[in-house]
Amino acid sequence: MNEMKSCGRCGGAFSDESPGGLCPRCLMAMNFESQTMPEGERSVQEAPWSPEEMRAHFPQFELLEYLGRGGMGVVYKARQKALDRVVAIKVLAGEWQGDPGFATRFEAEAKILAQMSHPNIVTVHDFGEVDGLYYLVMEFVDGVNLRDLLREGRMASEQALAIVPPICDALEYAHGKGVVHRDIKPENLLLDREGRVKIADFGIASIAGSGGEASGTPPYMAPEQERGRVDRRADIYALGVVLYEMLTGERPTSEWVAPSRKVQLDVKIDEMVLRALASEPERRYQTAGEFRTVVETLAATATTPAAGEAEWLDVSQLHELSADRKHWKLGMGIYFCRKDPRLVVPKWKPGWGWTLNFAHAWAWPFLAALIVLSVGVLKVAKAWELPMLAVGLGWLAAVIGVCHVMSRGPVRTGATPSMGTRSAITGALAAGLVLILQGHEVAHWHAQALSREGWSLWNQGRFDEAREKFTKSLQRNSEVAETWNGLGWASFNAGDGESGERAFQRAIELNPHHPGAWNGLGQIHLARGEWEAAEKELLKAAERNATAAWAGLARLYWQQKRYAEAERWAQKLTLVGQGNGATQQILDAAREEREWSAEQERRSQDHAEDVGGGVPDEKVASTEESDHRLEKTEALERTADQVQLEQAAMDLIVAIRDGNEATLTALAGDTVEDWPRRLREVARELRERFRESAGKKAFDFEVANSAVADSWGLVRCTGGPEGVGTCVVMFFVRTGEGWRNCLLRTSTEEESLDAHWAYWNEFLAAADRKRWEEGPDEGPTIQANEFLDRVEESAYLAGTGLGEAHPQRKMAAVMLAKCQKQYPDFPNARCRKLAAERLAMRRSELKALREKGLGEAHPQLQPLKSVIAALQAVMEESDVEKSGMRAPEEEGAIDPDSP
Amino acid sequence: MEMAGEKREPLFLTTRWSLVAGAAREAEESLDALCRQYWQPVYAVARHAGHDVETAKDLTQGFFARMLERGGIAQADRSKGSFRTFLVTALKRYMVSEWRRDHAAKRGGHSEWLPWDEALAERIPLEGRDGSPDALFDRRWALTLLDAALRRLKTERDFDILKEALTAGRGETDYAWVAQQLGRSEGAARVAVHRLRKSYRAAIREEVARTVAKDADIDEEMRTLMSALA
Repeated sequence: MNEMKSCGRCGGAFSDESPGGLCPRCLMAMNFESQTMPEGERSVQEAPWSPEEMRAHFPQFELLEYLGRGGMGVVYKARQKALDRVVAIKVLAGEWQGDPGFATRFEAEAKILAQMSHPNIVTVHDFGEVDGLYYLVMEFVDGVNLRDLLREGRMASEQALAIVPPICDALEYAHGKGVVHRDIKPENLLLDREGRVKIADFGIASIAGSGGEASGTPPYMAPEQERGRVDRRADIYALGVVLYEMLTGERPTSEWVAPSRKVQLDVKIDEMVLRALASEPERRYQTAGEFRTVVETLAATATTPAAGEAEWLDVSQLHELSADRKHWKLGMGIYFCRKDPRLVVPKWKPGWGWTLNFAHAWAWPFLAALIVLSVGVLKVAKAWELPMLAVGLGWLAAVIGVCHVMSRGPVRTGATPSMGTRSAITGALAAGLVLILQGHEVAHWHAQALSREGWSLWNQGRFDEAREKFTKSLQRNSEVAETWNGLGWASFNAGDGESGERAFQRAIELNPHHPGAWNGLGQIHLARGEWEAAEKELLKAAERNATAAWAGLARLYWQQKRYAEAERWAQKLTLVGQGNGATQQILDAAREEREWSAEQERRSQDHAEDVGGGVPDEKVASTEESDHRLEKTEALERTADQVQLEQAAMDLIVAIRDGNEATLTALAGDTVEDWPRRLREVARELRERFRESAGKKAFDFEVANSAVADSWGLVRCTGGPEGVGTCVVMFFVRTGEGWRNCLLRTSTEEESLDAHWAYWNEFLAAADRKRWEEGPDEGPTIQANEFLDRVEESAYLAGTGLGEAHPQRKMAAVMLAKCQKQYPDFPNARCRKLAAERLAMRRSELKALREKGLGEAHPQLQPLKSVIAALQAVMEESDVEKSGMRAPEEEGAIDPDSP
Repeated sequence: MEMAGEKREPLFLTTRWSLVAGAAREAEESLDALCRQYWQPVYAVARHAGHDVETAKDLTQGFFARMLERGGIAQADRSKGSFRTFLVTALKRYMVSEWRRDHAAKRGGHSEWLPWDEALAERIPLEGRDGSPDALFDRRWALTLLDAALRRLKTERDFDILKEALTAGRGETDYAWVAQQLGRSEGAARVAVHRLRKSYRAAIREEVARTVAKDADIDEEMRTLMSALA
């Protein structure tokens, strides 16, 4: 077994089987301490060397001060005794002690560095290795580094631009000698007390880097540096980053924003920074000298747009201006004051409104926008038949509000109003123009909306209201064929055939191919008995595949006793699944007719044969007939499953209609919690609703289609009263006793089967979720099964001969006891029912084992017998626990074979 | 997340739970690999529900068989959520539907979908029997994930010596001892530890990434797993 250990760090429990044999909590937690570097890295930087140690290592120097950590090591201030000068000693961290090539590299690099002599580069005086520590002796710079300056925030652009040229100088010099810095960053840029800039740590990065490994400080590294291909242009990139940081106070992120967008800067600076930070080296400045020239030029010519920083004026000062009568022409009418930067000023007598300052360039556009927008708003209001008074007042209030806000300020200096105001004025102008010019379009939208409302009303059977809507829609736009069609149907259905006819004709004038209109005309004429006209019109509609017309045609031909044609159309309907009782009638009649005429033919043929002459036509007729029959069977073939399913559906409909609660309960499945009760409620509701739509055959339903998937079945029935929901959708689950219903809903005919399945899946998932969320205790069947599982498990273990003290038996006993505590009323009726099923199964298993020839004492039989006994005990409601735990020897009293 | 120079099955670099919609063959393989890895939490939940060993095993096998066979995963909305949440929801639904089937289903006749380490499956302590199946599932998931990440690292040099350092806090690691074990200097030991930690972090992130829909979700998933272990 596992031994559980306790983690010394977090106190959690874990075992040998835990991942890696380590504490999982600590393992996971390790991923989160990411801000600070992990211990391993940090300690490399720490210099635990005491001054004593240092003195021992560097006898020729007098240690003055520990200056701090650098990128690659630690820096001390010291006095070089021999030359009596102050220097800086950089001791490189010992990470590379194991690296053989390091020493060679170090020496080579240091030699190159020592040769560099430039006022802006920190000079390297000496280098060496002592006791495994590599060190450099450098010029001591009395000052701060750029990072310290940046900590106080960004600097003025002049300052930033002034720092860059000397750095470029130094870089140019170094590049000329073939040395690339590779680690330009603010920490490496020192400024002394005289304000001179010096670059430190030249080439250190190349010492540290062992071929291929990217070295440098990531935020300042040029993209190509990660791949190890570094040249002078990488330094330029790094310098660009530093410049960005100086100007904006932040480092550029992967999607960096131009500096002038972050702070007030000349936009020309953006171009320069952009070029320096180009991802491809070819696009950057190719030399530091080039960069310097650009910077110096910019520094000389760049201006900070002072105008952007607007001064805010106190509005009260401006009142003096507007109070002065000489600015007002025509009494209080027209205001003209150049000094006043406001666009809208309150009238001379406050409280009398506002006026525009016509000295302002934007006054005229403002006025125009106001007028145009007002006209547009009024036009729209008229088109939409909104109450003009309300709209007018509302608009007025809005304008007053805007004027009030604008006149109160705050106000800026400068003649141009803010961006916001200008945009608002332009926008208002545009919107107003659009509304005016496109006014008629607005009317069209309204017409469409009305038309839609009309159709929805028509679908609900409210024909007179639908008529009104359609008429109104046509008032706004009378060129829409579909709306005329709608009016036609609404009128026809409302009983006004004549208006309907006229409407349909108008529709056809507009669209000669409108199937709905042709169908409508056809139906009207059919209703009047004008066969010829009706036939022509319906055929025209049928051409366009209007299945509604097919029904009309079938009826027409049937009425005219043209059975063959009637049959044809009726069959078409059946094939697309739109057949119904009437269609069937027609088909039956047609078939009868055919049979009768065939009979006639035969009789006349017999007659004729007596007279002489065969009739080959009969054969032709019969093959045609069988063709028809074949088509029909194929169309109607369904699987046995589906047939059963549909039967169950129809039974359910009947049960709903008759209010037969017993049948409803019997037909309800218990997949979904408490469905039988809910089904009865739903059924009651449906009955009420259907009854309310009086005058129609409320329960005249037929199966439209059905589908079976696994153990689920879906049936869609159409029919019923219009306006309530023209179809009923039922979901069934397959059980041992046949199909059982688990959901019932009404729907429209448009919803596809897929949509129904989707709805069902969601419903089921929600039910499952609910059940799971409430714990595995929900669902009476699950509870019972869980209980029975425990019973069986206990009995099974007991039957295997394990002692009561055996851990497995103990565990099983505990689980069973817990279960019984949870469901104190167990075993209940459902338990017993399920136990009976299980009992039957176990018995047959036992029988099978015996037939195999296994003896009664066989180890496979004993546990099974024990289980059977336990299940029996459940059914008899005796003490389950005790019987379940009985060892097989004690079982003699109960004969497992008795039913 | 580049681990330059290390051999890796190309599958892992690009597998994102949401990307498994590409070429059918690759998608199947990726799904297969994911399922093989995460059978433990499923089994744990099955056992937690009270099934005995055999039934739980059947359930697990059956569940994954269903997932992989029917392309149930393909139908899932993979732009939201992670593989873990999808799996636990599907598992619950599956288990509920299994209640309706016969318990004593005929054994045999299943093709084994997953390599079954019976011993391992049962040796895992079934802690927290009173907890909800979700918590158990998530906890098992987190452990499986850690396991997977560590298995990747086993190929690194000196993993066994260095692995203690993965859970060590500041100042806890005795670098002198480590250096001695490795037969190298202390500085080299520090570097080695650092490298292992870096690799471990990357491995965890990659493993998590395989089960989420987009990179932005990785951090949140990790936090969830952390709380699952707490």
